[in-house]
Amino acid sequence: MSSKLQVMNPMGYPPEITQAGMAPRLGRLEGKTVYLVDCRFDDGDILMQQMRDWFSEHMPAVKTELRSKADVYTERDPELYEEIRSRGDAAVVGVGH
Amino acid sequence: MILETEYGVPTVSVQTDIFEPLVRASSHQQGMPRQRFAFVPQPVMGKSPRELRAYIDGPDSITGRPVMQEVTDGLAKALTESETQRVRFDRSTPRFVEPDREENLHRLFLENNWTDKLPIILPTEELVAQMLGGTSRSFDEVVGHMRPTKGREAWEYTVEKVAINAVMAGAKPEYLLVILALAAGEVTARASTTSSAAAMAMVNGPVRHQIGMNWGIGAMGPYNHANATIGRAYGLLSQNLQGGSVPEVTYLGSQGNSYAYSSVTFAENEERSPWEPFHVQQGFKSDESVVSAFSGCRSTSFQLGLRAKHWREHVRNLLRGINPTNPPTLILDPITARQFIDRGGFDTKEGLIDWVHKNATMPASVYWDYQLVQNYVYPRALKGVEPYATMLKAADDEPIPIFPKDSIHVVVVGGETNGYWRIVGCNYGKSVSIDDWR
Repeated sequence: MSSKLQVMNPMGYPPEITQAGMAPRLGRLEGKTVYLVDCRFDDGDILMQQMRDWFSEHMPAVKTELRSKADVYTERDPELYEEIRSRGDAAVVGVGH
Repeated sequence: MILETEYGVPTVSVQTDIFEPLVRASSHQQGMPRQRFAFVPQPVMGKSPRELRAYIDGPDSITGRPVMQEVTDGLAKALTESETQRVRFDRSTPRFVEPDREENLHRLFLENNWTDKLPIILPTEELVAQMLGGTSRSFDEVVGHMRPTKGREAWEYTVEKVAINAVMAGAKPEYLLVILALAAGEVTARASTTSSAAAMAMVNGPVRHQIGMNWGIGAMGPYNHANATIGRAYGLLSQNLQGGSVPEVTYLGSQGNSYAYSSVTFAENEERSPWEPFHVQQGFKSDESVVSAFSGCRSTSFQLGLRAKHWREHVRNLLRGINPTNPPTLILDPITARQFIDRGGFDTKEGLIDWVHKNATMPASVYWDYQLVQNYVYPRALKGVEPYATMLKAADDEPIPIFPKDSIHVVVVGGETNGYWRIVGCNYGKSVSIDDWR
């Protein structure tokens, strides 16, 4: 029977994780403004257009605002995020990222 | 997730189903393990409005409930107890692996995705200590941080961690300073892009001679121990020190890339190049030793020499074979480097780069219609970033330069068995002093 070896762990050191709180939900969507955010990844804009159409057909009491991010999907869009916080109630972000 | 965590906006993220493991892992790492999602089928790219409407009207690919029920419930339904409770995020990396028999440890390394699936040298404390003899730096000094892609968390690593991966790759202690410099560059060789990118590393300066690297015949192939094991170590350290390169979680390359086995590692043939070495172009002195890392290596086109009559057209054809978002690095055998001087009068690399910039063109409408241009360049043009904003003003049939001048590079390698040369589409990342790690 071969003896046991002790070897070293090759993985790096992960950063600490700080829990992020989730935002309170709305209860009802009627009368609310939902921003539909196209991340500009592949053809996500077309998908989000279909979601806007779905809302107008099935939940006309929900106001939707369709927006595309101002930059590449990997980048933040602080102006848009601020607009959503001040004028919107909720957001759907797609596709991906 | 930023909208929810930083702006307090209740949000649902719409994802394609193939990314479920990745987005859940990513949410966990960013501190919101219960983030709300809706999943539609993959792909979205190339689908018609009608097909995408069917996605919206159809079931969530993961839960089976209607996609729009996931969306509306995700925004409206109150948070559950599990979504509001405190979560423990205990993570650490022990210095050692639990002692075991050799064959079991090899199996463990394989099962933990700590290898490139080829046999490795087990990093015993003794071998790692020998490896650390290749540098004067302390074993616990932090070398850098690395992540598989933008948006993922960056992991930290020390000199010892780099040495462990160097042992696994089969490198000699005298190669460690090159491997440390690559690690310090923080350019991952295991990027998680769906486009299956690999890295490329090129060494300049006296260290090439000191550790016996190859810049001649077969330099980019499996024919030199230093080239091979430094390149392999670059890959292993990237995957392990950034927190993994595991398919579906930390690696999403759809087809994969065999360049990733070696990270295309070689030395520049400074002795036979008619031009300034690459590291001198980047501001280093010629007697300094430097490693330069490139990322995004995927496409390669090649040809033999430069014909007197139509060499310009031939080179333009090669350049159009490179995706517009993946700029060209010309990798020239010394024979071809001299031919570029004979045919085009390019007595500097900069002269050749200028010619490539001016001659790699395509009609504006064709350029802007590339999917990757739409994803990565068009938004920046809309935002006013130059030169893209000006390029966006061009008429549809107006030729526009495909590659920014500062994204084009020229290097010389090869043993002059013939004048073959190639263009690799890749992004220059960083050049790092090797001497700093002696």
